[in-house]
Amino acid sequence: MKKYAITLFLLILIGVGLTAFLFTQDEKLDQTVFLQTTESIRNLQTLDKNLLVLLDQSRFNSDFDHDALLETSYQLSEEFSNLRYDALFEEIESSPALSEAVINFDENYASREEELEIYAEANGELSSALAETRRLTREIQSTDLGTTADAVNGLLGKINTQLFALALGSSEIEGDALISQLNDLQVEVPTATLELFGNYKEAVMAIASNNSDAVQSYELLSGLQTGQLLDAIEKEYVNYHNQAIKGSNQFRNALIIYGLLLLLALGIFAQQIRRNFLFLEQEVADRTEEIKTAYEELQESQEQLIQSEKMASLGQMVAGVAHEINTPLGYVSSNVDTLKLNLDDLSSLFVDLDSLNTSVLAKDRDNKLITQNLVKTLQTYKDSEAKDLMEESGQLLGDGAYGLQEISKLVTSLKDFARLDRQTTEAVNLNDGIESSLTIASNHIKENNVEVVRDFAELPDVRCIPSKLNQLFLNIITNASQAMGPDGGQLVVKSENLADHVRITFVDEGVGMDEETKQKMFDPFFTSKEIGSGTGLGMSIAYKIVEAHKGSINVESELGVGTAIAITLPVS
Amino acid sequence: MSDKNRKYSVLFVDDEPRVTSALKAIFRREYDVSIANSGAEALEKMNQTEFDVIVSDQRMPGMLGNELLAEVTKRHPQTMRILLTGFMDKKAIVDSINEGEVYRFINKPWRNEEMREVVAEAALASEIPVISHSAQSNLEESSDVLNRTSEVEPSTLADQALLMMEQAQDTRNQIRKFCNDHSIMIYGTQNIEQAVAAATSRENIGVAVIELSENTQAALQTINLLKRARPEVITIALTEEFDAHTAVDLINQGQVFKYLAKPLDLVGFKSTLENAFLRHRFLKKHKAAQRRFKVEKTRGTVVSGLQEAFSKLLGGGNKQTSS
Repeated sequence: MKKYAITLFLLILIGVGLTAFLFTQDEKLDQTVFLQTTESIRNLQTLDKNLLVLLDQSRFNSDFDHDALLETSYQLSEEFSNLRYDALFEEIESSPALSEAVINFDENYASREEELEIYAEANGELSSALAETRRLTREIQSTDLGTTADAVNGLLGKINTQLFALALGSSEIEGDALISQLNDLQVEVPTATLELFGNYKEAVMAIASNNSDAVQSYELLSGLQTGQLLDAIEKEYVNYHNQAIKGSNQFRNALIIYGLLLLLALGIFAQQIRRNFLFLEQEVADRTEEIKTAYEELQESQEQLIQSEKMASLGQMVAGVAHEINTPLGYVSSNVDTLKLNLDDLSSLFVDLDSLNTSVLAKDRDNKLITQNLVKTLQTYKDSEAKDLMEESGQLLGDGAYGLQEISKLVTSLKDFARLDRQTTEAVNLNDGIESSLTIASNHIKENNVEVVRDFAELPDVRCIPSKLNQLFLNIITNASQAMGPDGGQLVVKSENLADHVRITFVDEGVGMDEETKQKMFDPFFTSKEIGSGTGLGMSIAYKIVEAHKGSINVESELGVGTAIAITLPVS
Repeated sequence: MSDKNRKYSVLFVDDEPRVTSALKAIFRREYDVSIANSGAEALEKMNQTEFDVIVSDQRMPGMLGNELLAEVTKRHPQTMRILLTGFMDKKAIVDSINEGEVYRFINKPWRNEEMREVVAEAALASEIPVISHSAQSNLEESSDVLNRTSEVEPSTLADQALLMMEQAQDTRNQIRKFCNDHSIMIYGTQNIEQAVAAATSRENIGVAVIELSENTQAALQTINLLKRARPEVITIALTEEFDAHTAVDLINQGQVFKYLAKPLDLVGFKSTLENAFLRHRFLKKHKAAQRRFKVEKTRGTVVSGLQEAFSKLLGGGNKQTSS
């Protein structure tokens, strides 16, 4: 059962773990997150396109604000950072393809940002130089050029044409050639225009020097495929997302299968538990029945035991008394036989005496016959050892009388002990009860060489069930005698009058009891005797008897010293 | 040692002096009576004088009757031992058979007539020489230390014949195996009829092991008749449970050698058998000695067929039958 519980617990734990795992997986796959991320990528793409548009606009536009270009780039950078370090951080960690795409973009982007700054500067300079040339051209043309007017206009026109071509997309101007022509012309222009002309020349020189940088940067910038890289990121992201959905679906399916399996297992367990339950129920019913039967049997056997304890103590008592009676009975009946023999021996003397008497009383006295009879009688008297015979007969009769007295004493004690002829509850002198119990137990007492010392006080009559108390006294006397056997000892029986109570104390010099035995001595079935020699109920019955009389029993004992049992009983 | 004019000497032992004086009064005319009021006093008197018969009470303070008789068996094997039992004490009685080797039990209160008969028989039997106790109880000495008259015989069990009456399979097998191990010829029987048939037809049987539990009365009568017909056959009784009355009858009517409870202790059984065969060989040789183990006639009706079966055995010698 415990194994089942552990297995079940483990299965449930795994289930809960799996569910929690799937839940976090699901959270990762939140559709809004996906949409937001996709939108963020779209934003990046828009920004990227904007940047390209702005880049295109920036060319040759002297009014163009290059900060807008940089601002867009900054926004792009920020948005990308968001994407990289926030929205896509975990995905980048777990998808190498996505990571590569992002890094690619990042590298491209970093180089573009650098290039953008270079471009912005170069293009700015270029634009302002172009504006300057236009303004100076108009100013120069408005001044009086004198003789050089044609040459100057021609050159300016040529430069303007080239600059225009530049604006239209021609990447190069013939900078050095134009500068040397301008230098040549500068010597000829009137001094009033000289300063303007000098400025103009500087502006053209600035255009010439910046143009190539700006063009180079521009071409580099417009050549960067950041859009495609962003597309790659999106593609990888969508790819990753689909993978994740697929994985999550797999988890979900696994969880469903697991759930089904768990349900199945639970079903099996439930079945098992049900079976166990039914089995246990049956078992409990069976055991209950068994216990009931056992209890009944126990009750019955307890009654039997109490009965057999009664019979055993009765048997012991009867055997003891029988033995006590046997001995006097033996010699009394033997003595009767012997006395008959003795009388037979004497009878021949009487026959002789009779014939002597007859011969003496005869009318015609025959002295010779009288003498003869006298001699014969005297001889018979001598032969019969009549004196010894009379002495022996006297002794045998005395023994016989003593034996009969013993027997009658025993019979009286038996009557007093059992009290079958009296009413159950009676006020009696307990000293008499103790005395009759001692007589009943005399066989035990003699057998164990016990010397009984009586220390009786004058007692008031106690209302009790005398036969029960006698049984109690007999039990204690028997136990005490057995505790002292076979070496014997003194059993002091003391009775005391304590006004409204009577105390009877039995002090023996037996083997005594240890604390454990003392604790258990009143327990039913506890016996310190050999198995089979006692039911172990004697003292427990004794305890009940005292209890029934509302008395108390007190035991003191020491191993090897002896035991003292005091019984206190209320007088009324 | 037989002297026609000599009175037999009897020692009565009882803790109650009135009993001993009563007994003395009965026997003083025919016997040389001594009395003792304790086991110790009895042993002391026996050290001074040899007695022909000792009659002891069982229940005495100090030394019990069976203990006294066991001691007497050791010290004075010639003295016939009678135990006066007032009260059936199983263990004491069984012990007195197995250790005290009593001649008879007498129940208290006794009848003077019965007592006279038993004492008279015992007194007569005391004339007969006895196998020393040491020969019976001490294996080591049994082969060389024997009493005044018997000759030294080897205490081997080999080639002896044993009659067994036992129904319980396990005990039968146990005894069979034992006999096989010691080369004892065994006649295994399971009931009285078979046992009687074997006992009547096999002259060589020396010891009979008889189980009592199945039909105690019939088994007792078998033992009694067997003892009367073939006094030299030694009987060992087996029982499930000791019983005091049966024990008394086993001695008084069967003069069983040992009264053993099952399950058998094989070590003890071996020495018991050795002593039993030793006694058998002795009795076979000294017919007169058989009287030391004389039995009473059985009381009550004899199990039908038993008497008939034994009549052949009893033959012309003893025609008495009891009915």
